[in-house]
Amino acid sequence: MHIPDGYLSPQTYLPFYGIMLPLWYLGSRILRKALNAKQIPLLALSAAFSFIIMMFNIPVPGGSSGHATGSVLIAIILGPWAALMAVSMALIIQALLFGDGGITAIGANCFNVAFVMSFSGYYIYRLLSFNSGTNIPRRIFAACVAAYVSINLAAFFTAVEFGIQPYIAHKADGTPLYGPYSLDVAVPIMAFEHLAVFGFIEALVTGLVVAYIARSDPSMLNIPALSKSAYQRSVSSARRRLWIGLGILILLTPLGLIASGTAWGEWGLEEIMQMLGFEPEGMKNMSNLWQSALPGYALPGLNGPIASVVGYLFSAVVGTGVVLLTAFIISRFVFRGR
Amino acid sequence: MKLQWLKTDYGCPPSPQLKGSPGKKSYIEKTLKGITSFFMNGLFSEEIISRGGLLQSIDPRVKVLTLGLLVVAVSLYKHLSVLLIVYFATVVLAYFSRIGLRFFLLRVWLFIPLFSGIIALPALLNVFVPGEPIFDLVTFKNETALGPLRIPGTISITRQGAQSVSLFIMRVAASVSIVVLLTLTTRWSHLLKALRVYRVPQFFTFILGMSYRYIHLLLRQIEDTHLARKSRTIGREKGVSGRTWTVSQIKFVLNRSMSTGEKVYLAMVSRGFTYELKTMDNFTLKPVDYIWTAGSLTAIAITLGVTWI
Repeated sequence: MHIPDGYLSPQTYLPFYGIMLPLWYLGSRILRKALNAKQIPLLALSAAFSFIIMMFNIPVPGGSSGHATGSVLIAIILGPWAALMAVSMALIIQALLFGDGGITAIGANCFNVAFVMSFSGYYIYRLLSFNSGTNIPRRIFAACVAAYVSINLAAFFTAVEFGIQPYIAHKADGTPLYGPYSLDVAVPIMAFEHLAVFGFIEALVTGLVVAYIARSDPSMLNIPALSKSAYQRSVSSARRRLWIGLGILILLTPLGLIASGTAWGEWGLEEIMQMLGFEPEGMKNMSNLWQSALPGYALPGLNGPIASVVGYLFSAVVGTGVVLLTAFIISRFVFRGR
Repeated sequence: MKLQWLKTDYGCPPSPQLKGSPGKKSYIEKTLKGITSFFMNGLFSEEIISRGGLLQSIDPRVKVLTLGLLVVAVSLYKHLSVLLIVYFATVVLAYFSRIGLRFFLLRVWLFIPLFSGIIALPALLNVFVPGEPIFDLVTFKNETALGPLRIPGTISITRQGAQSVSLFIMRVAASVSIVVLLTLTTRWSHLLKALRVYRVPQFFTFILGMSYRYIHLLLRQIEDTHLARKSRTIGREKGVSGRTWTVSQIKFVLNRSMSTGEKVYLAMVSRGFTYELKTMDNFTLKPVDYIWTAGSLTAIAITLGVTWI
């Protein structure tokens, strides 16, 4: 996600410097207040940590390995302002010393990775782990979601910065002067690779490190110290709550009976006939391709309101069972021995 | 006894492989490769700086100003010919700065411009950049749509696409060349001191300098732990154990950096740190600096004039 020189026009990279300069100033003021003279070595070492975390390759399920940017992790541990400063410093060192990311694009890169990612990640984590106390699984879940969402947000900003280039900087005959791809190409490509791959790697690394810290050094995450048995209890109670939640959702499925209308996009052929006035040929041909075992969530041969409720419950149990079984079989085959 | 495998040359036998990834580099090898290239980078720069060529002899303050302005100018050019001239000028400068041309070209082209070229190639087609066709590739019966993309009846290379791709690649290559020239011929401490002259707050340059020093220290430790792990692992390693170990290493570096931060602070206080920073080298402008400044500023002004007039 490090944008090199030459990708962005001056109309794009200059405003990002304009955004980042006050943010850096504010960051240094806030940290100076909190840490005083201590901030210099602590920030230097945090920047070093931020630089190094990007170099750690971690095995991912599937036999390959990848690395994370670590912005959300640093924000969770050190707070968003320290993360903004530390990750910015790491990005500046990368750009000035290794040519990884452009000098003109330092503002934009710091905005995407150090600001958007750290702040969004930190606040998503805080929101999801609010009042979680010693509920460690919720914190791990919050860290994973925060990392996944915020890296995608950062990628989205990067894609928009790329994608606006053909509109704002082109020659009279339409030749793009900088990044050649418009928004309708740049955004889907960046979104796809981050939603499908990099988001999961970021979530995996962030979640695992938060889990590790929660167990080995809970004070770092402001979690009251837990004994090993208390930690196990916390994990198993979270698992129990997950099953109870699933059970409640299954019991609530007959609510579908009181909802009127059809879910958007799930229309049957007759409804489409009513809406459009004709039946699309392709849909007509395909509609008989598959007959489900429990059509309309009803038990075959049974009628009446009670039968409908039983049918819904039965469908929910069977559906959940099939999904769990499939996941179990896939996990046995794909992640065997891992 | 041969201790060949202890070297950081990773063609050696005991390397943990993850299941299902025959022939692929393991995560340990990838991390070690990154660490090695970090150290190699520092060594190469130090060696090139000590060769004493043209750019090495120029005052870092002047170099930061002129090469910085040149990077900005490169981002403003609109003509391929100007970008080509600037690119070749950087190659000539590399030659006179006694940077091996093969090393310089590989260093510049490998990865960023090459990668940019690959991702930019589809932009040759009228699918992405509409314009006057100069070479037809495929003709379909009708126009189709692929998601948000409109695929025209005839896919062709457009003049605008070809111009856009060549401009893009040369702009990236010229910018990367200038940055590589600057970093290969300037010491990090000198670069930071030069930035101070241009009103970059001392707070930032100090943190950047200190951070770079401690990256070295921490990376050395990670290299040791990774090498130790690599040399003790036989056969294939399970993904779970690899992940657990890597996570424990990240936590180790985190602890290490926090505790080092505290200790450095205490050491600074006990030595009477007053926020005032001093470097040992004092910069003085020589005649060559004036000539270089005048020459490069004129060149930038002329090329920008060509672009905008």
